[in-house]
Amino acid sequence: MKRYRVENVLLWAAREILRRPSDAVMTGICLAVITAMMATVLLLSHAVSDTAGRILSVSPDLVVRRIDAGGWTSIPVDEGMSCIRTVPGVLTVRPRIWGAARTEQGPVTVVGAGSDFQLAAAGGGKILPPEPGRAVVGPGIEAVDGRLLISLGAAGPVAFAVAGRLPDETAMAAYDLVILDPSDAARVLGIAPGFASDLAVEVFHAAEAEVLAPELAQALPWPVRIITRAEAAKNYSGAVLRRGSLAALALLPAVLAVLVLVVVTVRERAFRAKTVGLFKALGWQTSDVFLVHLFESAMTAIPSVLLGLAAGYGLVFFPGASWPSRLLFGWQRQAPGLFLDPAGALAVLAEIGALILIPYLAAAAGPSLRASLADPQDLLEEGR
Amino acid sequence: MENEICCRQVSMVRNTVSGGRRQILKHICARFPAGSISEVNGPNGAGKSTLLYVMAGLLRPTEGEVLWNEAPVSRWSAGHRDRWRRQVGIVFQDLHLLEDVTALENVMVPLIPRGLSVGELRRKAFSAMERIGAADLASLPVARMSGGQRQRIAIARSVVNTPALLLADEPAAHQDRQGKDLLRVLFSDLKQQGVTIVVAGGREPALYNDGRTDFSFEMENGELKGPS
Repeated sequence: MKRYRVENVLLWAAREILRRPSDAVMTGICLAVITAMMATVLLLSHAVSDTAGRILSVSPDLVVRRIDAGGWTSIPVDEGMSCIRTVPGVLTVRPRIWGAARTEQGPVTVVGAGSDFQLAAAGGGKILPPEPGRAVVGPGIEAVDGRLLISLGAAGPVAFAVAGRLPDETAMAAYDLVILDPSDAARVLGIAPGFASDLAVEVFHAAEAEVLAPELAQALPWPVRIITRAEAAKNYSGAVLRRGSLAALALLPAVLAVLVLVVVTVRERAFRAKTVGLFKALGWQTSDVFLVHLFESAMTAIPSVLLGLAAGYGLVFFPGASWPSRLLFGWQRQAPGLFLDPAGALAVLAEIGALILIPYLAAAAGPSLRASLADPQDLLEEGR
Repeated sequence: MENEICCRQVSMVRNTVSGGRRQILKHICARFPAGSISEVNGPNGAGKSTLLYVMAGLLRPTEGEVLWNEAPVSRWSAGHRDRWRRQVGIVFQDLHLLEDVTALENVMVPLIPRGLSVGELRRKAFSAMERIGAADLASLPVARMSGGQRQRIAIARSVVNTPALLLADEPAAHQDRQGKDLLRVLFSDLKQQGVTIVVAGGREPALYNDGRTDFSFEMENGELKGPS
């Protein structure tokens, strides 16, 4: 006998929506827009964080840089490596040559790539380390006539033939990167032979990296600054998200919009007290009335929220969506190639649910529970 | 006794629009036996509608109690009264129809949470409308109907759930002669099935002016006199 109760209540909820189609459409549009605003901000911050984590997961356990009174300075490779190798727990040490240089297009990051460098190219091929006089450039760098001019200060510019381009999806890490032969890189950056920008250290147990850092500092004869991978990750995502913190301000009007929608919904449902009173007078129980209001709200809210989520996802991840990189990094055309792991996506869904769906459904269905405390005739007399 | 409803010292005090309090029902004592038709007549404002709403469990009396088969319905919690009301049919004086849905859907409303299939819902609702001669109105929106037609829809809605108790507030107010005849036939059929019927009328009996009710009460200034 009770078999069709929920189905019938569901059908009646759909009928209630059709009784006031314009209300449902307006509410749906509001919810979709609010969800899209919130989802965009939340997805962006999660994606930046996840992408930064992904990039830095392949970075060295520790990076050792030498400092002096003027800031960073180059580090003698042989002496530095032999000191570091004396510390128990160190697996490998390798010198890195990198730094900022000036081009016609503005500052770039120059990296010297040794023979062990290899990267998958967009077309499925491989990008090999450039030969002397050649360069592999990041997605944000334009080559003019297949050449890139890098300034050497008073000595004038030096030209490099662009031999390859890094794939677009590396933009988050390699947007303004110029990869050169190590000797070219050292020349461009003014690093003397036998010196490096820093030393990258791998340890046996990554978890011990923080403990090893002070021991490495003690083993070296110069003042050094040692950065662990966790610190680098924190610095990177922190810097990116600071630039994007303006976007988080979009959450404020969105939250206010949810509050307004909740208040309007509560008032609108209170006006429906007469219908609640009538249903109860005709033998409906509080649970029946609650279910109708819940289903009615869910039928409007769930598709709207899904639509808003899809719009937010598209704005952040749609191929060619370049506004996040304009906002976060100041890039003009390049999409950032963001990545979101499944846990991050679930977190965004949960946050959207907590911030929008649950308050709206509670506001829509709550008054029916409150009305259940009143006598049906009082509701019939007070409602419209 | 099955399907018997009694009022025992029922009083009702309600707030007035001007902020005062007015006693609408004064120590009502009455018994409405199972399978009987009772009529409560009296002038406007005498308290007839309030008495029906108290008997239907829509309002709690300020004093006294309403007994359904000796059970104190008026003392029950709201949830229990909601469940009990499933065996009560009510025709409101204001009708309280849903204006923007069809007549058939209005009649189906009491059955929706009962767990019947949609086909069965439609069949029962259509059957109730046929009993009051309103089957041809099934697909029309209520907003487009005349007062008499709307009242027939409200009556069909009150009997669609095969009630044990039917409380009708001026059910013949907008009915022509044919409508009143149909209503009398319907009430007679229900009485044969053991339904207890209480009808509120105006100053003069509108439905049973030939004295064919089982019990007739007079109500004035919240006091009930009778039966006669």
